[in-house]
Amino acid sequence: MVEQTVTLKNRSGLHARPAALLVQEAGKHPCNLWIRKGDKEVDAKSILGVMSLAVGSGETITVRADGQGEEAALKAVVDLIESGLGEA
Amino acid sequence: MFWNRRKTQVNERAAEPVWLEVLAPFSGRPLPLAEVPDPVFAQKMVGDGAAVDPDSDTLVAPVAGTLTNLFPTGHAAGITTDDGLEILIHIGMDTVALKGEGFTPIARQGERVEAGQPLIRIDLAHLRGVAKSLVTPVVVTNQGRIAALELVAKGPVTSGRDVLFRVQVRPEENGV
Repeated sequence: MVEQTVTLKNRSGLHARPAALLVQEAGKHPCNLWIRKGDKEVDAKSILGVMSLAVGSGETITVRADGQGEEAALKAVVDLIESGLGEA
Repeated sequence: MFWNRRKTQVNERAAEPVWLEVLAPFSGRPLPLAEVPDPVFAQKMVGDGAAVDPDSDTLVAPVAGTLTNLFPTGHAAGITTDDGLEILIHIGMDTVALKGEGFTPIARQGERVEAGQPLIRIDLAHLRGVAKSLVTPVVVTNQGRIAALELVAKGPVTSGRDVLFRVQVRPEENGV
């Protein structure tokens, strides 16, 4: 199991469009992936789950991966979040 | 041949397909998802379903289930059905940027809702002036659970009464 904390940079937080991009990336990986904000953790492969965290711009979340290819999956998801999820 | 057909019929009965009818969340004009003016929805990245261009001011639950998400900004809601389908209703395009202005949530996140139950009231006249589009997609976000999906509505729909689309539910696999 690996995890990493990352700050959301995209301007409007994890709403539909960025959440869809994130879930799409998460879905490419065979391992389990979760996203945690505060004491709430959700399946990173569920759009409703990810959106329900209502992560705002500048907030910090933790990505957790467990299973086959967990290192690569964690890196891919964290890189995507740091890239701004399609928003400058 | 006859023997074959009978066998097929028996098999079909054994795995009776479950169809879920998804009602129009607003009254208005139905659109296929491909015509939604945002590629994230039009390309089914968020999920598969259909949309309505609203001319009523109250968003109602398109299906029964648990209201798992009612966003503080009031521009979107998520319902998880008893079969485990996750349905997202997103009012308009880029409406997250309005930060709740023009949206009044009526229902409470976490509560059980029935199909047709009012969830969010919108200030239609105001939003028409400030939102890029009010086209409201209704999508099943866990697409792995969709065996088939059909747009049912052909002409103008009435919220909570007319079926917008129907979806054949694929049974949940273990560990998915």
